[in-house]
Amino acid sequence: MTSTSLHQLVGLLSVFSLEEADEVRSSTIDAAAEGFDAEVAGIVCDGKIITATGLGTAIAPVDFIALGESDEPRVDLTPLGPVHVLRVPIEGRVGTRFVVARSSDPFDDEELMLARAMVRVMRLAVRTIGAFEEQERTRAEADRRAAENSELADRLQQRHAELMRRFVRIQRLVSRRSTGLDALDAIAAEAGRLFDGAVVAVRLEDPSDHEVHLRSCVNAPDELVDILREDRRRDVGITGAAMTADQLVVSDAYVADQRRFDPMASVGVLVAMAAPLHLGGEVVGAVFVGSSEPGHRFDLEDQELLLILAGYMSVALNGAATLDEVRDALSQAEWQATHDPLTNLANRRMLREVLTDRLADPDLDPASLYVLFVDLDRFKSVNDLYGHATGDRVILEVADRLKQCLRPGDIVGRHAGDEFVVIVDGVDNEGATALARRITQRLDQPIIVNGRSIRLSASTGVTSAIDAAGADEVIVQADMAMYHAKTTHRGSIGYFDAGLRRQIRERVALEQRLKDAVPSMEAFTLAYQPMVNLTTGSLCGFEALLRWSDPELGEVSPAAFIPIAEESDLIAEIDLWVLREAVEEAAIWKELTDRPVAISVNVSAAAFTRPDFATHVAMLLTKHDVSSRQLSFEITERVMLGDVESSAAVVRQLQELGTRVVLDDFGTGYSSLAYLRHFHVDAIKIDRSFVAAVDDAEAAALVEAMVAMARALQSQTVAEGVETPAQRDRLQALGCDVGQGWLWGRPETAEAARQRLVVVEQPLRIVS
Amino acid sequence: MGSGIFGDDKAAQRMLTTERTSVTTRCSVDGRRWMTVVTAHDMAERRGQELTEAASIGTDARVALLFARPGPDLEQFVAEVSRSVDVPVVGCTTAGLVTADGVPDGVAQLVVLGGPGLDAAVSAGRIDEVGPRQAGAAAAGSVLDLPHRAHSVVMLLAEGLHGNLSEVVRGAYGTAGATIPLVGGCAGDDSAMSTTHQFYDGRVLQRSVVGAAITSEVPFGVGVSHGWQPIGHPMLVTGAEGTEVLTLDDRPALDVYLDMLGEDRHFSDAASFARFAQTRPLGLQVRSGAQVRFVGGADVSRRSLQFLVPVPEGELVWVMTGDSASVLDATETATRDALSQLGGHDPLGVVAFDCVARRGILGDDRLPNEISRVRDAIGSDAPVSGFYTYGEIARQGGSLGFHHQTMVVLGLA
Repeated sequence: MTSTSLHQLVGLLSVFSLEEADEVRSSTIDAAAEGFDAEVAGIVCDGKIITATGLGTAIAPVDFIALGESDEPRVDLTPLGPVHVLRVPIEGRVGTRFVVARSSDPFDDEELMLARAMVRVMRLAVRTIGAFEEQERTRAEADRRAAENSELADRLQQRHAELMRRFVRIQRLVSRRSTGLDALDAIAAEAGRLFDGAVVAVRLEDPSDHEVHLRSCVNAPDELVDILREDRRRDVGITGAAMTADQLVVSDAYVADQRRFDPMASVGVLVAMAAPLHLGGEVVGAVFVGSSEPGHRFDLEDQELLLILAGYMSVALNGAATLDEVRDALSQAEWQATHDPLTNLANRRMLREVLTDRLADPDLDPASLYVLFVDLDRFKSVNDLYGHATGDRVILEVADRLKQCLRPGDIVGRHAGDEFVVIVDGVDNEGATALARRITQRLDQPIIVNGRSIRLSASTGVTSAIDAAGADEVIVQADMAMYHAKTTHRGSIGYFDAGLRRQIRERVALEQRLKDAVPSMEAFTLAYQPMVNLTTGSLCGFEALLRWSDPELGEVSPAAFIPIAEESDLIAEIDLWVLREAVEEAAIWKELTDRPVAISVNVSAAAFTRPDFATHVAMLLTKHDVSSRQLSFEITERVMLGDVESSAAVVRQLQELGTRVVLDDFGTGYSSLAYLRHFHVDAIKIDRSFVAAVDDAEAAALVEAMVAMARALQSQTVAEGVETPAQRDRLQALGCDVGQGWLWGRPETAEAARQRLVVVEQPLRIVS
Repeated sequence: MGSGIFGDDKAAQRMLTTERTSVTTRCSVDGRRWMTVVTAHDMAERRGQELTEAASIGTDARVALLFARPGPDLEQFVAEVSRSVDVPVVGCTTAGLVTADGVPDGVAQLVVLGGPGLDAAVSAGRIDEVGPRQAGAAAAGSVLDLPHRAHSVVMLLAEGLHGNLSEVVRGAYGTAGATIPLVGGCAGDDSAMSTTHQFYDGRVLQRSVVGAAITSEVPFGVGVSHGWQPIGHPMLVTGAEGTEVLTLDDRPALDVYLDMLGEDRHFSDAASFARFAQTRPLGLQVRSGAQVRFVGGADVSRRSLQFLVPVPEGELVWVMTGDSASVLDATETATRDALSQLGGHDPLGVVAFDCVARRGILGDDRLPNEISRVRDAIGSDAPVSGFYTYGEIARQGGSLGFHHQTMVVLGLA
């Protein structure tokens, strides 16, 4: 049985040949789905899907997320029916789970171990890619010679090939052993080689008397082996620590470490680590690795390797024994269902329950019940710049500070990633305001993580429960008040009041018109604005711009309806329509002219991060026989600010299709440079505000810097809003590649654009 | 169906055979779904319009599948069919047609599905443009355009000689999801093994995947069976580089393979080895049983075996063999499995994707025996269609979906 399971890891080892972290993740998911014969598999994190397979259109992502986040072994997954679920937490990222579900039969413990091993292999592959990317970046910044970059790529490949060879070897060793314990010995022996002659010891607990026995030992002198055989105490050395803590323990200064096992130190071990071994989810032993090489340290990759080996050992153990007992996890499950695992605060579900209870309480005056919605400003960038581990520490600190601001009986919960909700009663508007101020001030103080001072602010929305119809509505009101505060002035406090209610009503009315208009899309058209090659002066393409002409409201400005469409989930549908229209138009252009004419479409985060977006694009291009090189997507920094990893993956997918990705409104956002690192865009579009001021020396210097930066990233630059010949000349002199603006033409009808293509074979005449 | 070919005559079926074409049609008892198969025989010159006219398609046709032998007239023929049939068409070139009488002399086959109880849409993806995964995803993508019905299936017709077909299926699976079965096969080129073509929207494509998503008010059935039996003991792949297996159990793979089969011939030319290996594939252990992998060739100097898809080190494999009896049994199993899933509805007909290697085992003179097994299962006059493939696609439970040397049957009701 052991060998059967291990064979399922074989397909996965090919992840070491991949060069992108998101490819590693999706390949792992594929290998898991195929290896476990499962219908669906994926990685979920904080109410989001990082990657998944098998959902198609019939299985709602929210249902899969719920399945991943619950702890039920069997779940009804509409419309697939009841499925057995296997979940493995991904360490280092709180709330992230690797999830596999199948309808055929339940998962056994061996499969659980196998899934854990898969997760570790995935993490190791992702980590080595990360480490090499980091090196590549540092090096690339210091010295951009292409030869060196390719040498680095070769080294990454070599490292991966090496790891793959080692794992295949372990696999092969294990496959030939008849029992699980023999396999375990074989892995220990291989570990001795993997860690360059380090001492490797495996200790297993006897369930009958809880004595811990030495199972295998390599690279150790005989006298040490004898001592290890004799000493059967559980809490000895860092192996004991690893078993007790059920996690990897690393000792960088073993001799000085209070947890050291003296005989181990006396044979010269200087640094050591130990990882727990599991049988059916229970810790049943640990594997120890100790090196006596001076100056050696076990880095993150070594640690990851040991965890993988421990995973293999656990798979082997599970093949050798059966699980006799399952911990009664019911109470634990209930706690998990109502609390945020990171902060232990109430979660969204619990907040709703508390609020519903309080609203239903006849002794409680709803006028004295207040809800505060606290949202950290720019928290995303903390995660993106410093990593999720730091982000988690910040969230923990924020949770602590919030608790300190409250009175006994007040409730604070984590509503979502960086959103917190506070429920207080027995206060008036003044009391709620005072609390909001206290919170704002408290969160305004720097947070120190790993010696780094992180300065955040929070925007807070305040509402009374008096006019709300239910718990959901109160939270929505508080959220709106927060949003109002955030858009007015970050770090401020906003109130839900009559004015906000009126604004919301107007918005709702417009939203309804929009909802009515979207299914047919008849009231929408595309306008096309020419784009011009600044070097040759010739027309090189058009940007497709959406226009809405409502029969009652008349022309509605995109600035008014796009944000509403974005918030009401209509935008994805609109974007797909725009994409379809634009590709159809590009197919018509192909008939009109032999020149390749580029078409650029704007795409929102909602459409962009749809799992099937690239598929839609590939389908449309094939359907209309339009070359992918003709099509560009314009995304704004806001798209990136969402989920950086999945957006970067979509950018790559689109580029793999051959389409181009353009970063729109460049220079107007916040942390453009940091995000550009993640997104290798094909062009950046310099915002019109810079173009308008390009006569000014300061603005010109900024444009020049943007052009230089784009060139360094091998991207093009497009200047939008060009209105005068002087601006054009200046932009051209600064090295800008493409121009767009009234100078060459306003957005025009499809017919007019076609006319332009037929007529214009010479440099574009200026229509000023 | 009043405007269709049956008028008010429900549950009708019809067979027409002329010198140049044979036509089989069947309509469901409630008159809401129908299937027509027209096969053209021995035409010196294929005429798309003739095929379409023979089909006398009603106005409620939904989709047409075109399977055609390769030939110099292909582009014109495909364009003509597409123009005259007036519904979305996908198709591909083949290594022979599966026909109702089992005689493999057909040069083209048009399968038309229609009726108010069905909906269908087609799409395609180019492997060379967007990569195998996205091409598979795009080919299955038409499922996104269809109104929801209780039952769906996605049929994929793919280039199988180049490109990673497992990735194509993964891509399609990503789009269709676990609730929609995938079926189909890889295009052939009359066993020349050089270039295959796919048809989409009247165009002839290469290195592409085309797909038809079909939804129905009644269930579809998908049957899969290969009929190969493992011989000897399982072996470990101990040395492999991509699609080449160097060693099995630490011995040269070719030697182990031949020993296992008790074969002491020394194959000097690639063609004779390929013929030998065509009927002796390897089985790969997977959780649900064995997956068959076609041994595509050998490197005599390196003593290695060549495959069409990567076989990684550490895999457990067997040598497999089959004979005409096991091939015929597998045909019957696949067909009966497919028909058993139709929820008690009378079958309309089948589309079969049958590996060309299985045809090799039977030999052309015994092909009618194979088809008679299909007909025994479905009834003598039902439309039988399909083609001989270079790889088969079938996914129902789980997520594995790419097969070799297997028979895949799509049953329609």
